[in-house]
Amino acid sequence: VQVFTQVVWWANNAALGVLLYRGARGRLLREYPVFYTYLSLVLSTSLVLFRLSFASRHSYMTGYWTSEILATLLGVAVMWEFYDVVLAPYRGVRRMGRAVIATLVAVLFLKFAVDVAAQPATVLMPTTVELQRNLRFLQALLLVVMFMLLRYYRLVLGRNAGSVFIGYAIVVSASVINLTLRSALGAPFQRWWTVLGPMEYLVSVVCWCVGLWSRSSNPVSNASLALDYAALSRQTAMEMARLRSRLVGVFR
Amino acid sequence: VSILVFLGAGAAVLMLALVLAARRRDDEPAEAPGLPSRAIMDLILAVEDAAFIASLHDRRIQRLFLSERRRLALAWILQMRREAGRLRRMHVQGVRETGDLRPVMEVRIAGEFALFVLICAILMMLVRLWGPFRARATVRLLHMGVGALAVLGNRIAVGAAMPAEASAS
Repeated sequence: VQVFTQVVWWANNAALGVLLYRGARGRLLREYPVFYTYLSLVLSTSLVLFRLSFASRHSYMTGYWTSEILATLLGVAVMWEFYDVVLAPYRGVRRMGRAVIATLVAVLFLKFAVDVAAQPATVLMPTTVELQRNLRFLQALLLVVMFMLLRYYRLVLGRNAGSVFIGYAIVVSASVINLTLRSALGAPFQRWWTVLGPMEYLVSVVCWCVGLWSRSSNPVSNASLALDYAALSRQTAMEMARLRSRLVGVFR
Repeated sequence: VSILVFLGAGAAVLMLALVLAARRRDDEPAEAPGLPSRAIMDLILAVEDAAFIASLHDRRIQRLFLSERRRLALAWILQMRREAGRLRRMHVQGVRETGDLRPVMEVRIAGEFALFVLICAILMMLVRLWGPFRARATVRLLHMGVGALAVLGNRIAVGAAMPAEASAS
Protein backbone atom coordinates (compact mmCIF):
# COMPACT_ATOMS: atom_id res chain seq x y z
CA VAL A 1 0.00 0.00 0.00
CA GLN A 2 2.81 2.38 0.91
CA VAL A 3 4.61 1.84 -2.43
CA PHE A 4 1.35 2.34 -4.34
CA THR A 5 0.65 5.58 -2.42
CA GLN A 6 4.17 6.80 -3.17
CA VAL A 7 3.75 6.06 -6.88
CA VAL A 8 0.43 7.93 -6.98
CA TRP A 9 1.94 10.83 -5.04
CA TRP A 10 4.88 11.21 -7.46
CA ALA A 11 2.55 10.84 -10.45
CA ASN A 12 0.46 13.66 -8.99
CA ASN A 13 3.47 15.94 -8.67
CA ALA A 14 4.66 15.13 -12.18
CA ALA A 15 1.19 15.82 -13.62
CA LEU A 16 0.94 19.09 -11.68
CA GLY A 17 4.35 20.12 -13.07
CA VAL A 18 3.20 19.34 -16.62
CA LEU A 19 -0.03 21.26 -16.00
CA LEU A 20 1.82 24.36 -14.83
CA TYR A 21 4.26 24.16 -17.75
CA ARG A 22 1.41 23.83 -20.29
CA GLY A 23 -0.44 26.67 -18.57
CA ALA A 24 2.57 28.96 -18.90
CA ARG A 25 3.10 27.98 -22.53
CA GLY A 26 -0.54 28.32 -23.51
CA ARG A 27 -0.92 31.64 -21.65
CA LEU A 28 -3.66 30.12 -19.54
CA LEU A 29 -2.06 31.55 -16.40
CA ARG A 30 -3.39 34.97 -17.34
CA GLU A 31 -6.91 33.68 -17.78
CA TYR A 32 -7.04 31.64 -14.58
CA PRO A 33 -4.42 33.26 -12.26
CA VAL A 34 -6.02 32.10 -9.00
CA PHE A 35 -6.46 28.54 -10.28
CA TYR A 36 -2.80 28.29 -11.30
CA THR A 37 -1.74 29.87 -7.97
CA TYR A 38 -3.76 27.11 -6.30
CA LEU A 39 -1.98 24.44 -8.37
CA SER A 40 1.43 25.99 -7.57
CA LEU A 41 0.56 25.97 -3.87
CA VAL A 42 -0.48 22.31 -4.02
CA LEU A 43 2.73 21.32 -5.83
CA SER A 44 5.07 23.35 -3.63
CA THR A 45 3.46 22.23 -0.36
CA SER A 46 3.59 18.64 -1.58
CA LEU A 47 7.35 18.90 -2.06
CA VAL A 48 7.85 20.73 1.26
CA LEU A 49 5.84 18.02 3.01
CA PHE A 50 8.03 15.37 1.41
CA ARG A 51 11.05 17.08 2.98
CA LEU A 52 9.20 17.40 6.32
CA SER A 53 8.31 13.70 6.32
CA PHE A 54 11.99 12.99 7.07
CA ALA A 55 11.84 15.35 10.06
CA SER A 56 9.57 14.85 13.10
CA ARG A 57 5.99 13.57 12.80
CA HIS A 58 4.73 16.65 14.63
CA SER A 59 6.24 19.10 12.13
CA TYR A 60 4.89 17.01 9.22
CA MET A 61 1.35 16.97 10.66
CA THR A 62 1.44 20.71 11.36
CA GLY A 63 2.66 21.37 7.82
CA TYR A 64 0.09 19.00 6.34
CA TRP A 65 -2.97 20.54 7.97
CA THR A 66 -1.73 24.11 7.42
CA SER A 67 -1.28 23.41 3.70
CA GLU A 68 -4.68 21.69 3.50
CA ILE A 69 -6.46 24.68 5.05
CA LEU A 70 -4.56 27.13 2.81
CA ALA A 71 -5.43 25.10 -0.29
CA THR A 72 -9.09 24.89 0.73
CA LEU A 73 -9.29 28.66 1.37
CA LEU A 74 -7.66 29.31 -1.99
CA GLY A 75 -10.17 26.86 -3.46
CA VAL A 76 -13.00 29.23 -2.53
CA ALA A 77 -11.17 31.97 -4.45
CA VAL A 78 -10.84 29.55 -7.40
CA MET A 79 -14.60 29.18 -7.41
CA TRP A 80 -15.07 32.94 -7.38
CA GLU A 81 -12.64 33.30 -10.31
CA PHE A 82 -14.47 30.56 -12.19
CA TYR A 83 -17.75 32.47 -11.81
CA ASP A 84 -16.05 35.62 -13.08
CA VAL A 85 -14.45 34.03 -16.15
CA VAL A 86 -17.32 31.80 -17.26
CA LEU A 87 -20.12 34.31 -16.66
CA ALA A 88 -18.20 37.36 -17.97
CA PRO A 89 -20.34 37.63 -21.16
CA TYR A 90 -23.53 37.12 -19.13
CA ARG A 91 -23.52 40.08 -16.73
CA GLY A 92 -27.09 39.59 -15.53
CA VAL A 93 -26.59 35.87 -14.84
CA ARG A 94 -23.34 36.67 -13.02
CA ARG A 95 -25.12 39.23 -10.86
CA MET A 96 -27.81 36.69 -10.10
CA GLY A 97 -25.19 34.03 -9.26
CA ARG A 98 -23.54 36.44 -6.83
CA ALA A 99 -26.89 37.23 -5.24
CA VAL A 100 -27.54 33.50 -4.74
CA ILE A 101 -24.03 33.00 -3.29
CA ALA A 102 -24.44 35.96 -0.93
CA THR A 103 -27.78 34.57 0.26
CA LEU A 104 -26.24 31.12 0.72
CA VAL A 105 -23.30 32.47 2.72
CA ALA A 106 -25.67 34.59 4.82
CA VAL A 107 -27.78 31.51 5.60
CA LEU A 108 -24.67 29.52 6.55
CA PHE A 109 -23.48 32.33 8.84
CA LEU A 110 -26.94 32.54 10.40
CA LYS A 111 -26.86 28.80 11.08
CA PHE A 112 -23.36 29.19 12.53
CA ALA A 113 -24.58 32.02 14.80
CA VAL A 114 -27.53 29.92 16.00
CA ASP A 115 -25.19 26.95 16.67
CA VAL A 116 -22.76 29.20 18.58
CA ALA A 117 -25.62 30.51 20.71
CA ALA A 118 -26.71 26.94 21.51
CA GLN A 119 -23.33 25.23 22.05
CA PRO A 120 -20.49 27.77 22.01
CA ALA A 121 -17.74 25.39 23.17
CA THR A 122 -18.16 22.70 20.52
CA VAL A 123 -18.87 25.09 17.61
CA LEU A 124 -16.06 27.58 18.25
CA MET A 125 -13.41 24.87 18.55
CA PRO A 126 -13.86 22.63 15.53
CA THR A 127 -11.18 20.13 14.63
CA THR A 128 -9.09 20.86 11.54
CA VAL A 129 -10.88 18.01 9.75
CA GLU A 130 -14.27 19.57 10.49
CA LEU A 131 -13.15 23.06 9.47
CA GLN A 132 -11.79 21.74 6.18
CA ARG A 133 -14.93 19.68 5.61
CA ASN A 134 -17.13 22.74 6.18
CA LEU A 135 -15.10 24.85 3.73
CA ARG A 136 -15.29 22.09 1.15
CA PHE A 137 -19.03 21.88 1.76
CA LEU A 138 -19.30 25.60 0.97
CA GLN A 139 -17.39 24.98 -2.27
CA ALA A 140 -19.73 22.11 -3.07
CA LEU A 141 -22.70 24.45 -2.68
CA LEU A 142 -21.03 27.02 -4.96
CA LEU A 143 -20.48 24.30 -7.56
CA VAL A 144 -24.14 23.25 -7.34
CA VAL A 145 -25.30 26.88 -7.82
CA MET A 146 -22.94 27.24 -10.78
CA PHE A 147 -24.21 24.02 -12.32
CA MET A 148 -27.82 25.12 -11.90
CA LEU A 149 -27.11 28.47 -13.56
CA LEU A 150 -25.33 26.72 -16.43
CA ARG A 151 -28.25 24.34 -16.90
CA TYR A 152 -31.04 26.88 -16.53
CA TYR A 153 -29.53 29.50 -18.85
CA ARG A 154 -28.22 26.81 -21.22
CA LEU A 155 -24.67 28.15 -21.06
CA VAL A 156 -21.99 26.06 -22.70
CA LEU A 157 -18.51 25.76 -21.23
CA GLY A 158 -15.42 25.61 -23.41
CA ARG A 159 -12.88 22.81 -23.05
CA ASN A 160 -10.70 24.76 -20.58
CA ALA A 161 -13.51 25.97 -18.32
CA GLY A 162 -15.28 22.60 -18.53
CA SER A 163 -12.21 20.69 -17.37
CA VAL A 164 -11.59 23.17 -14.52
CA PHE A 165 -15.19 22.68 -13.38
CA ILE A 166 -15.23 18.87 -13.68
CA GLY A 167 -11.77 18.40 -12.11
CA TYR A 168 -12.58 20.72 -9.26
CA ALA A 169 -15.97 19.08 -8.71
CA ILE A 170 -14.18 15.71 -8.36
CA VAL A 171 -11.72 17.21 -5.83
CA VAL A 172 -14.48 18.84 -3.80
CA SER A 173 -16.90 15.91 -3.80
CA ALA A 174 -14.23 13.35 -2.95
CA SER A 175 -12.86 15.64 -0.21
CA VAL A 176 -16.29 16.20 1.37
CA ILE A 177 -16.97 12.44 1.38
CA ASN A 178 -13.47 11.56 2.69
CA LEU A 179 -13.45 14.26 5.37
CA THR A 180 -16.94 13.31 6.55
CA LEU A 181 -15.96 9.66 6.83
CA ARG A 182 -12.65 10.61 8.51
CA SER A 183 -14.52 12.82 10.97
CA ALA A 184 -17.18 10.18 11.66
CA LEU A 185 -15.12 6.99 11.70
CA GLY A 186 -11.88 8.41 13.11
CA ALA A 187 -8.65 6.41 13.12
CA PRO A 188 -9.98 3.21 11.39
CA PHE A 189 -10.56 5.25 8.24
CA GLN A 190 -6.99 6.61 8.29
CA ARG A 191 -5.63 3.76 6.11
CA TRP A 192 -8.21 4.38 3.40
CA TRP A 193 -7.70 8.11 3.74
CA THR A 194 -3.99 7.87 2.85
CA VAL A 195 -4.78 5.85 -0.29
CA LEU A 196 -7.95 7.57 -1.48
CA GLY A 197 -6.74 11.17 -1.02
CA PRO A 198 -3.88 11.10 -3.57
CA MET A 199 -5.88 8.90 -5.96
CA GLU A 200 -8.85 11.26 -6.20
CA TYR A 201 -6.46 14.13 -6.74
CA LEU A 202 -4.68 12.24 -9.52
CA VAL A 203 -8.01 11.76 -11.36
CA SER A 204 -8.65 15.52 -11.17
CA VAL A 205 -5.13 16.47 -12.27
CA VAL A 206 -5.38 14.11 -15.26
CA CYS A 207 -8.74 15.72 -16.13
CA TRP A 208 -7.14 19.19 -15.94
CA CYS A 209 -4.13 18.05 -18.00
CA VAL A 210 -6.43 16.87 -20.80
CA GLY A 211 -8.67 19.95 -20.73
CA LEU A 212 -5.98 22.57 -20.19
CA TRP A 213 -3.38 21.14 -22.56
CA SER A 214 -3.94 24.08 -24.89
CA ARG A 215 -5.97 27.28 -24.88
CA SER A 216 -9.58 27.02 -25.98
CA SER A 217 -11.98 29.92 -25.58
CA ASN A 218 -15.55 29.60 -24.35
CA PRO A 219 -18.15 29.27 -27.13
CA VAL A 220 -19.76 32.58 -28.01
CA SER A 221 -23.54 32.62 -27.98
CA ASN A 222 -25.23 33.45 -31.27
CA ALA A 223 -28.42 34.67 -29.58
CA SER A 224 -29.21 38.33 -30.08
CA LEU A 225 -29.27 40.74 -27.15
CA ALA A 226 -32.63 41.31 -25.55
CA LEU A 227 -33.68 44.91 -26.01
CA ASP A 228 -36.25 45.23 -23.27
CA TYR A 229 -35.85 42.75 -20.46
CA ALA A 230 -38.88 43.90 -18.51
CA ALA A 231 -41.24 43.64 -21.50
CA LEU A 232 -39.86 40.26 -22.56
CA SER A 233 -40.14 38.82 -19.06
CA ARG A 234 -43.66 40.13 -18.59
CA GLN A 235 -44.65 38.58 -21.90
CA THR A 236 -43.07 35.21 -20.97
CA ALA A 237 -44.87 35.17 -17.62
CA MET A 238 -48.17 36.04 -19.31
CA GLU A 239 -47.70 33.35 -21.97
CA MET A 240 -46.94 30.78 -19.25
CA ALA A 241 -50.11 31.74 -17.38
CA ARG A 242 -52.12 31.57 -20.63
CA LEU A 243 -50.75 28.10 -21.40
CA ARG A 244 -51.64 26.96 -17.90
CA SER A 245 -55.22 28.21 -18.07
CA ARG A 246 -55.58 26.59 -21.50
CA LEU A 247 -54.31 23.26 -20.19
CA VAL A 248 -56.55 23.24 -17.14
CA GLY A 249 -59.47 24.75 -19.08
CA VAL A 250 -59.61 21.78 -21.44
CA PHE A 251 -60.14 19.40 -18.52
CA ARG A 252 -62.58 21.64 -16.68
CA VAL B 1 -28.08 13.60 10.04
CA SER B 2 -25.18 16.00 9.41
CA ILE B 3 -23.04 13.10 8.16
CA LEU B 4 -25.75 12.21 5.64
CA VAL B 5 -26.01 15.86 4.53
CA PHE B 6 -22.26 16.08 3.90
CA LEU B 7 -22.11 12.70 2.15
CA GLY B 8 -25.15 13.65 0.06
CA ALA B 9 -23.58 16.97 -0.94
CA GLY B 10 -20.37 15.21 -1.96
CA ALA B 11 -22.24 12.61 -4.00
CA ALA B 12 -24.42 15.31 -5.62
CA VAL B 13 -21.40 17.32 -6.78
CA LEU B 14 -19.81 14.16 -8.18
CA MET B 15 -23.02 13.45 -10.11
CA LEU B 16 -23.07 17.02 -11.47
CA ALA B 17 -19.49 16.61 -12.68
CA LEU B 18 -20.46 13.41 -14.49
CA VAL B 19 -23.55 15.04 -16.03
CA LEU B 20 -21.48 18.01 -17.19
CA ALA B 21 -18.79 15.70 -18.60
CA ALA B 22 -21.42 13.79 -20.59
CA ARG B 23 -23.13 16.96 -21.83
CA ARG B 24 -22.70 18.12 -25.39
CA ARG B 25 -23.38 21.49 -26.98
CA ASP B 26 -26.77 22.64 -25.77
CA ASP B 27 -27.30 25.92 -27.52
CA GLU B 28 -29.56 24.85 -30.36
CA PRO B 29 -32.33 27.33 -31.26
CA ALA B 30 -35.78 26.66 -29.89
CA GLU B 31 -37.79 24.55 -32.36
CA ALA B 32 -40.73 25.91 -34.33
CA PRO B 33 -43.89 26.73 -32.36
CA GLY B 34 -46.42 23.95 -32.06
CA LEU B 35 -49.23 24.89 -29.69
CA PRO B 36 -51.79 22.08 -29.94
CA SER B 37 -55.31 23.16 -30.80
CA ARG B 38 -57.93 23.11 -28.06
CA ALA B 39 -60.46 21.80 -30.57
CA ILE B 40 -58.42 18.61 -30.98
CA MET B 41 -58.53 17.93 -27.24
CA ASP B 42 -62.27 18.64 -27.22
CA LEU B 43 -62.62 15.96 -29.93
CA ILE B 44 -60.42 13.55 -27.97
CA LEU B 45 -62.60 14.04 -24.90
CA ALA B 46 -65.91 14.07 -26.80
CA VAL B 47 -68.56 12.46 -24.58
CA GLU B 48 -70.71 11.58 -27.61
CA ASP B 49 -67.98 9.25 -28.92
CA ALA B 50 -67.71 7.54 -25.54
CA ALA B 51 -71.49 7.16 -25.37
CA PHE B 52 -71.61 5.67 -28.87
CA ILE B 53 -68.85 3.14 -28.08
CA ALA B 54 -70.61 2.24 -24.82
CA SER B 55 -73.84 1.60 -26.73
CA LEU B 56 -72.08 -1.10 -28.78
CA HIS B 57 -71.66 -3.26 -25.63
CA ASP B 58 -68.39 -4.69 -26.88
CA ARG B 59 -65.67 -4.78 -24.16
CA ARG B 60 -62.83 -5.22 -26.67
CA ILE B 61 -63.83 -2.16 -28.69
CA GLN B 62 -64.37 -0.14 -25.53
CA ARG B 63 -60.90 -1.06 -24.29
CA LEU B 64 -59.34 -0.20 -27.64
CA PHE B 65 -61.21 3.11 -27.76
CA LEU B 66 -60.13 4.07 -24.24
CA SER B 67 -56.53 3.10 -24.88
CA GLU B 68 -56.42 5.17 -28.09
CA ARG B 69 -58.02 8.21 -26.43
CA ARG B 70 -55.64 7.88 -23.50
CA ARG B 71 -52.67 7.83 -25.87
CA LEU B 72 -53.97 10.89 -27.75
CA ALA B 73 -54.71 12.83 -24.55
CA LEU B 74 -51.21 12.09 -23.22
CA ALA B 75 -49.68 13.22 -26.52
CA TRP B 76 -51.68 16.46 -26.34
CA ILE B 77 -50.51 17.20 -22.78
CA LEU B 78 -46.92 16.37 -23.74
CA GLN B 79 -47.17 18.77 -26.66
CA MET B 80 -48.36 21.50 -24.27
CA ARG B 81 -45.40 20.77 -22.00
CA ARG B 82 -43.02 20.97 -24.94
CA GLU B 83 -44.53 24.31 -25.86
CA ALA B 84 -43.95 25.60 -22.32
CA GLY B 85 -40.35 24.33 -22.51
CA ARG B 86 -39.87 26.14 -25.81
CA LEU B 87 -41.20 29.34 -24.27
CA ARG B 88 -38.79 29.04 -21.34
CA ARG B 89 -35.85 28.31 -23.68
CA MET B 90 -36.71 31.33 -25.81
CA HIS B 91 -36.83 33.46 -22.69
CA VAL B 92 -33.45 32.35 -21.29
CA GLN B 93 -31.77 32.61 -24.68
CA GLY B 94 -33.13 36.13 -25.05
CA VAL B 95 -32.32 37.47 -21.59
CA ARG B 96 -29.13 35.69 -20.50
CA GLU B 97 -26.86 38.35 -21.97
CA THR B 98 -28.69 41.38 -20.69
CA GLY B 99 -27.22 43.25 -17.74
CA ASP B 100 -30.50 44.20 -16.08
CA LEU B 101 -31.70 40.67 -15.38
CA ARG B 102 -33.86 40.70 -12.23
CA PRO B 103 -33.61 37.68 -9.91
CA VAL B 104 -37.19 38.12 -8.61
CA MET B 105 -38.64 38.07 -12.12
CA GLU B 106 -36.46 35.10 -13.08
CA VAL B 107 -37.62 33.17 -10.01
CA ARG B 108 -41.23 34.04 -10.88
CA ILE B 109 -40.85 32.71 -14.43
CA ALA B 110 -39.05 29.58 -13.21
CA GLY B 111 -41.89 29.12 -10.70
CA GLU B 112 -44.54 29.51 -13.43
CA PHE B 113 -42.75 26.88 -15.51
CA ALA B 114 -42.36 24.52 -12.53
CA LEU B 115 -46.07 24.88 -11.73
CA PHE B 116 -46.96 24.13 -15.34
CA VAL B 117 -44.78 21.02 -15.36
CA LEU B 118 -46.37 19.91 -12.07
CA ILE B 119 -49.89 20.34 -13.45
CA CYS B 120 -48.89 18.40 -16.58
CA ALA B 121 -47.50 15.60 -14.42
CA ILE B 122 -50.67 15.42 -12.31
CA LEU B 123 -52.93 15.42 -15.39
CA MET B 124 -50.81 12.75 -17.07
CA MET B 125 -50.95 10.63 -13.96
CA LEU B 126 -54.74 10.96 -13.80
CA VAL B 127 -55.10 10.14 -17.51
CA ARG B 128 -52.81 7.11 -17.16
CA LEU B 129 -54.58 5.83 -14.06
CA TRP B 130 -58.24 6.47 -14.88
CA GLY B 131 -58.33 7.31 -18.57
CA PRO B 132 -59.07 10.75 -20.11
CA PHE B 133 -62.83 10.80 -19.42
CA ARG B 134 -62.61 9.99 -15.72
CA ALA B 135 -59.61 12.32 -15.40
CA ARG B 136 -61.72 15.14 -16.83
CA ALA B 137 -64.58 14.30 -14.48
CA THR B 138 -62.16 14.32 -11.51
CA VAL B 139 -60.73 17.71 -12.49
CA ARG B 140 -64.28 19.08 -12.90
CA LEU B 141 -65.25 17.74 -9.51
CA LEU B 142 -62.15 19.25 -7.93
CA HIS B 143 -62.82 22.56 -9.65
CA MET B 144 -66.43 22.57 -8.42
CA GLY B 145 -65.27 21.70 -4.91
CA VAL B 146 -62.71 24.52 -4.90
CA GLY B 147 -65.37 26.91 -6.27
CA ALA B 148 -67.86 25.90 -3.59
CA LEU B 149 -65.23 26.36 -0.88
CA ALA B 150 -64.41 29.82 -2.27
CA VAL B 151 -68.10 30.82 -2.21
CA LEU B 152 -68.44 29.47 1.34
CA GLY B 153 -65.31 31.37 2.38
CA ASN B 154 -66.73 34.58 0.91
CA ARG B 155 -70.04 34.10 2.72
CA ILE B 156 -68.27 33.50 6.02
CA ALA B 157 -66.13 36.60 5.45
CA VAL B 158 -69.20 38.71 4.62
CA GLY B 159 -71.09 37.29 7.61
CA ALA B 160 -68.18 38.07 9.92
CA ALA B 161 -67.92 41.62 8.62
CA MET B 162 -71.64 42.42 8.97
CA PRO B 163 -71.93 42.42 12.81
CA ALA B 164 -68.80 44.55 13.00
CA GLU B 165 -70.30 47.07 10.54
CA ALA B 166 -73.62 47.00 12.40
CA SER B 167 -71.96 47.73 15.75
CA ALA B 168 -69.89 50.51 14.15
CA SER B 169 -73.00 52.18 12.71
